[in-house]
Amino acid sequence: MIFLSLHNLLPEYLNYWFVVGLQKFIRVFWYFVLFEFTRYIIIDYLVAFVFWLTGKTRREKFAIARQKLFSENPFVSVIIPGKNEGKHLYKLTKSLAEQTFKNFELIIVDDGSDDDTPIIGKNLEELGLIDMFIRNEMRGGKASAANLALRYSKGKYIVHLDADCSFDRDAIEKILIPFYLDKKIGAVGGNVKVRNYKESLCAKLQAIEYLKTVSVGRIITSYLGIYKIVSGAFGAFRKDIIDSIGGWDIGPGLDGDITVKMRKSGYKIYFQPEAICLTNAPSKFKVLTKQRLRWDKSIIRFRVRKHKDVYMPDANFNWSNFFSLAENVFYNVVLDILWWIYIIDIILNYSSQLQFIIPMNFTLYFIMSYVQMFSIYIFSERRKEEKYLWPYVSLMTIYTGTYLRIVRTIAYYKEFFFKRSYEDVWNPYKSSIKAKEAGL
Amino acid sequence: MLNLVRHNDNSRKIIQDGYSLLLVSHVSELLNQQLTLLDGFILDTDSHIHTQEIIRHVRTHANLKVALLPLFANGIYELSKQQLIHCDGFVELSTISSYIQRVAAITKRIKSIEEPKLVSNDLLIQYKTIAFCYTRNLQLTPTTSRESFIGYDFPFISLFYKETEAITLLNNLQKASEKNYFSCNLLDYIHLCKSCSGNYLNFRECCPKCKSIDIDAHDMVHHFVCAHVAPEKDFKKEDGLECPKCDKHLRHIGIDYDKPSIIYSCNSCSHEFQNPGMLSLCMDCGTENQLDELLQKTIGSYAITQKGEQILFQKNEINESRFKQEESIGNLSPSLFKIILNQEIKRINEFNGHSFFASIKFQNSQLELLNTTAKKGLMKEVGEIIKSYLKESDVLSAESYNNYYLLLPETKEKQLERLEQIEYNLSKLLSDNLIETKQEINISIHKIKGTDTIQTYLV
Repeated sequence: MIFLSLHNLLPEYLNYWFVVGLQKFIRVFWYFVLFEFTRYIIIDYLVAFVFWLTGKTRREKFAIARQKLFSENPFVSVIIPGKNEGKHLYKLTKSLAEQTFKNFELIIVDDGSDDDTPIIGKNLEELGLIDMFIRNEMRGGKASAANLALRYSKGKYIVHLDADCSFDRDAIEKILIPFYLDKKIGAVGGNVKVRNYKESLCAKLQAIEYLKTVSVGRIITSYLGIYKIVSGAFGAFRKDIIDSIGGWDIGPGLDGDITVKMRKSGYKIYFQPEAICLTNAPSKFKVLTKQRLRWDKSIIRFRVRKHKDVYMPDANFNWSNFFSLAENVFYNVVLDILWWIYIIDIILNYSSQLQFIIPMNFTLYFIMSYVQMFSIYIFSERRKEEKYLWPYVSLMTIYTGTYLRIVRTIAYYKEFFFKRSYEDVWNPYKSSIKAKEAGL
Repeated sequence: MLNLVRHNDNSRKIIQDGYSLLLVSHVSELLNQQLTLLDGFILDTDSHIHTQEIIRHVRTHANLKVALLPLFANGIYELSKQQLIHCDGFVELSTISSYIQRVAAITKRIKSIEEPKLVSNDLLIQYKTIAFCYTRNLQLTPTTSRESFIGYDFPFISLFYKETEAITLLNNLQKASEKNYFSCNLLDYIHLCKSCSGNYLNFRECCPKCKSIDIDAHDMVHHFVCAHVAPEKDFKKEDGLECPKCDKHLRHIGIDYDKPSIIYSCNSCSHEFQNPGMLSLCMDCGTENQLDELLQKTIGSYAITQKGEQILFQKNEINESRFKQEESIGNLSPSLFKIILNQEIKRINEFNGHSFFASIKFQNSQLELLNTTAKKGLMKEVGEIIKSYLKESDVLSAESYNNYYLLLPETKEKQLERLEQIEYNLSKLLSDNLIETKQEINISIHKIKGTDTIQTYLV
């Protein structure tokens, strides 16, 4: 009797799935069950649990590493390459002046700006707020600007920042600590969060996405030893290693590329969730689409083409590097293709039941989004502020499941068949054309 | 027709149409002459030194009517441009009659002007210069001169100043301009040593950190294909340029690589930088000047105004009293200030007034390095700031460039807030003009009592 009344309260599409049974449920939602649920729920929570179990030991190790850092007090070079970033520079110097770790020089490279950046930079240098301001009259691209800063940096560690970011007071201290945990750590990625999440719906959805993929996603991959991208907005590198691999290569996607280069040199990459950096995300979908097309093309360019040797079972083969890139390529490229296959499968085989499948699919992703958000809540150090984002989690199915997937598919198609990343104006044509000729 | 007359005293005169021009080859020839009876002079020597002596003797003659007389140069000799500006041009002795009209015009104007009766040397020079320009209908246009301390010589007025007094000359011209006797048309800016006001300066790029001039510039090379950027020396190999990152040969600028910037390195402190500092060494006194420490002065051509012309025909005593009044408003000499202060103390002793004495002092090591001209300029600016906050009955006196006295008669306590404003503005003046950030300005205020003496305030 009770069952019947509950049954009557549920929508028809849910009742349908009660009736047809688990086997058919898995057949219809195979994509969700096999990939999404396993990866983003089961593995996330397993790692979260282990992370929690090992928390005490990790905190102790960190405390010792912190002591080592401050007793050595290494000289660090903070480098900021960029174009037309003058308007952010004063705020940035103020943010850096507040840091708990003080022993660093600040090097800013102006990559052929055509606004007031040279005037602002020179003034800040004269005022002593910047240690070295280098101006390139001709734009050479972000990689060349970063390499120029690297050439003149004197620190034992290089901290690479984006000019429009701001930092927690202990961000530099926190990002340096992992180098004192393990001598094989060659680079440490900082935790980039969205500062302008109140600005627009687009920024809010990215804020949630960053929390999922950047914060939690990287804690998991870092823990599993397959962390594959040190964000260009906030990352630290050992100077000797970065020098030995020749610094940055041409982008777009140079931050992911240098991480792979470091891994291939035999060094570990670490994600430091406590080193917090806030950045401005695009507030309009048009701008976001352009940015994501660029980012997604770089997966094909670097992880499928340039570093394909990682997948070859030769003398340099390394399982961790293999899994790192394979996981990235699988969960982005392969699953993207599989998703379209899944859609075709459903249309061909279950076209008469779409009225039950589509709402159920959305329900599953809706629930998964909130379960994931709960795992973010567990890891986050800004829980209260991030509660603001909870109502918008319901839109993530459309945002990541549909919008970003379509953008990704277009990017992969363009890059795989036409190598469009070499035509991206983000990098000057003079160097892109040379990189294309050299197959880089 | 040339009437060259040799007199008993061996002087040579040309008499033409009733005008008598003396040919002079040595300054001694002027000593035994009744110069007031002459109508002009013709320089008749190829000696640079003799020419200079004659020009100086004539143009700085105590009698203005002699100093203004036409002074020509014989066309058969050469004259430097620095000497020519003080003369009225060249003459050909064979065609002297064609120059007589000019002589007549000048002498006519000389007769029309009043003889100056001014006491102040600066004012006298201003007056004479105005008269020189008036009699020639001339604009005072300077000419470049390596011999001059400021790099420029002015017609006539430059003869009244020694080389080292060139700044005083410029200041005097500026004063005359401020009084609207001259209108100034900007020609150039000059930069002078902060210490000796010399303009013989050697400019060199230097390391912004240690100020060493031992710096080298390096072209940066950007290799397109691998994004490696480094100084050109890193790429140099025996057979050309080779990338140290990817070992590729760099063949073609614009195709394989470019040179996006220049970086300097200091051989003394190893500092690397893109914007070198600039130092200027004074070749006269050896002082190293930062660029912002150099004295900047304006060089212009000066044309007399209607007001300037008028003073030549007025009774000069009146002019002088007005000059003095303009210069001394609100800025009494310390001796006069003491008399007034003493008087005020006596008045308060008798009538119980409510007056204050204030002294303003500032100490700054950079100020002490300034030369006299700069100190005078500073005093003027400080005086103007203080004066802008004073009532008409207040009295200001400057003991030195960094020590000022104020007498504030019948002033309420609340009105003393003016002194805070003065302190704020003086601090701003100093911090805007000096590199040193710590500016010490002491303002002390004393209420005047009837029992006080001058020594209570002025030690």
